[in-house]
Amino acid sequence: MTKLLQWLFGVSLLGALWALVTFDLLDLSLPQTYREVAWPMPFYLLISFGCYSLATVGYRVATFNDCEEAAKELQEQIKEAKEDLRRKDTAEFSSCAGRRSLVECSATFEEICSLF
Amino acid sequence: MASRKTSRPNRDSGDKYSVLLPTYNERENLPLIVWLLVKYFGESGFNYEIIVIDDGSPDGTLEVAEQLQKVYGEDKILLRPRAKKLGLGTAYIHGMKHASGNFIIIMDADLSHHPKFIPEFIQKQKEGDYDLVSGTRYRGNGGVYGWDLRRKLIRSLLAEVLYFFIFFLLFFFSPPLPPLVHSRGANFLAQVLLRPGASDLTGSFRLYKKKVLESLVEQCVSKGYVFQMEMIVRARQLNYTIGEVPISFVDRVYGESKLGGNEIVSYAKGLLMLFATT
Ligand SMILES: Nc1nc2c(ncn2[C@@H]2O[C@H](COP(=O)(O)OP(=O)(O)OP(=O)(O)O)[C@@H](O)[C@H]2O)c(=O)[nH]1
Ligand SMILES: [Mg+2]
Repeated sequence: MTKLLQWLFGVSLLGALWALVTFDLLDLSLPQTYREVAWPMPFYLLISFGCYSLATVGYRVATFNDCEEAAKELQEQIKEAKEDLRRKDTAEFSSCAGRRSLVECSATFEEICSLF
Repeated sequence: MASRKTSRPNRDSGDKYSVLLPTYNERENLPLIVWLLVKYFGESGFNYEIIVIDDGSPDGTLEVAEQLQKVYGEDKILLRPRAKKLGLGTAYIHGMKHASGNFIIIMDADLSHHPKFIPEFIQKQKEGDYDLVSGTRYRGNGGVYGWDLRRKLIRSLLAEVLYFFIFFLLFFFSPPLPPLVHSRGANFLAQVLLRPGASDLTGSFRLYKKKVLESLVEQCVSKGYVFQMEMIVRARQLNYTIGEVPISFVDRVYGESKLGGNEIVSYAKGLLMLFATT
């Protein structure tokens, strides 16, 4: 049974129970107070759930961290990385000159350079 | 739970970490993320490999990856490209098949996930012998950069809806309720309010034991966006233990977001799918 079916089953069970008490379907002659408490119950539950959700969402948004430092650090590191990579690519370029045709090498080198 | 504590990370332990980097048009980002990965793995001394799964990016990401492979070596950078864009979920599966590590790290290649957190993930994993460690933007020192109020609001709302959907709707009728993460002595209310292991359901910066990831992937049916969410849900269903590390999430600097369209609609669709199939 999928969760969907389980929930449909559960909800209709609760709904039936609620109707049973609220409208006294079985003529159990329940005390009046039971019915008075039962019938607005779904609304109370819905409203308290809504309030709780609003409060948590509000709290989350208010306390959402802004990582200024992390962004700055990343920018620094990007700069550093680019310099280092450019150096490494140059080394790669000179070391591959013996192995491959110069044209091929300079093509790849140019390509890497054009990246930055 | 008798958690085996390793007081110091054992650098010469047999552990190897395979980083999966799915890329689609990440030409500018790939060299930078690889550089950062090499830097932080180098500093912490853990054994690693980087697996780039490029889906035939028209911007030539693969050529850049090949250059990087020359610079850093074929044992460190592995290329497992695919001919066309087949989606993020299957990219992970594809990459995982070729991973030789006993741990797998999944992260975005767009620099929004910073490799500096990886040593923390590893530390955390060792601390509690966790089956998976998830990065979270929503607690501790975690956070985001580059989100305006509107986006924060939408994300917080979504997080709320997701949480209720998943942990109330999906688990409510599953007796026994899966124990929530390792939170010794925490009562139900605390678990609901603090939501251990579930504070960032859609995050995609995670470390898995390889075996755990394999068994999870086997069970997952969703594609794309919902995939990450489903992985955590299934992990909870299978009683895997989850650790969390707060991360800062910096919005991409280069390149374009691949996940356009209406976020909310795709979440909703994914959730309904989970609801109907689990
Ligand atoms: N191999 C592969 N990688 C992909 C695919 N779609 C996205 N990616 C990569 O997956 C990662 C996450 O994608 P993003 O576009 O950053 O998604 P996001 O993080 O939700 O959105 P933004 O950060 O706002 O752009 C990036 O590294 C992408 O390059 C795909 O179809 N195939
Ligand atoms: Mg991204």
